[in-house]
Amino acid sequence: MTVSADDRAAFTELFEQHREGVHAFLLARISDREVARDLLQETFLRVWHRIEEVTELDLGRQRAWIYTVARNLLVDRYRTDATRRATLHAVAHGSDRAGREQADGSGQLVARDQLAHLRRAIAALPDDQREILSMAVVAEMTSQQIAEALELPAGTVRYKLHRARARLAAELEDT
Amino acid sequence: MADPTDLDGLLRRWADEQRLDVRETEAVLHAILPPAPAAAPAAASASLPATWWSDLSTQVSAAIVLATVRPATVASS
Repeated sequence: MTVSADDRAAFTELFEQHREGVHAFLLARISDREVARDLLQETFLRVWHRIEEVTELDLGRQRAWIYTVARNLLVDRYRTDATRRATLHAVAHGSDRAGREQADGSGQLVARDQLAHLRRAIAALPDDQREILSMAVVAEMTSQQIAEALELPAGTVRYKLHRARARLAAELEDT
Repeated sequence: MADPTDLDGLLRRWADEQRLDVRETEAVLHAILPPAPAAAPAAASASLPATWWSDLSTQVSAAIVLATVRPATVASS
């Protein structure tokens, strides 16, 4: 494949524009950081192979195209129950980065416990709510952007986000 | 101590854990699209001073003047 400077620039722009959202989407479903990173790479490799086609789409359709690729890769990866069980376990117990936290005071210990509790509560959310929450909070996507990515009405996205937050708040208040 | 109902604060901390850092992001990008080789700097621009064109013009002009003005002693002989 001949790599033109224009294609390279177009791809880099697409990557910067969508990488955080796609990664948040993948992590909500697979949660293992290594696997999510591999799938992120595979998603954008496919984008690169079709760069001329993708750049001709408007932003909303670009987003839908990219997330469809990511979703299909997830489905391939997600077929076994064992993978899913490992996923939810990893969500509940935090990422490897979280495991590197150092708690050197009682305040930090309490905060760490609260964060652990939050992770468990997020892991217990329905898949679609966890996905939308992750895209909204981790990738800081708007409801409209999430709606385009997941091909849902924006009102549905806002409703599910509200439900997820209400459920998390209730879980935290119970502690 | 963190407020247990500070959902936004806890979600921000959770989000910070989730994101890829710069090194991880670059690794993904470069695995797909290796960095383009840097363009070789032009040899001339690396060795010539910034005023080379002005200096050359001055020298050429001076050489032309010298070649076209016949000294008086030669003309009279």
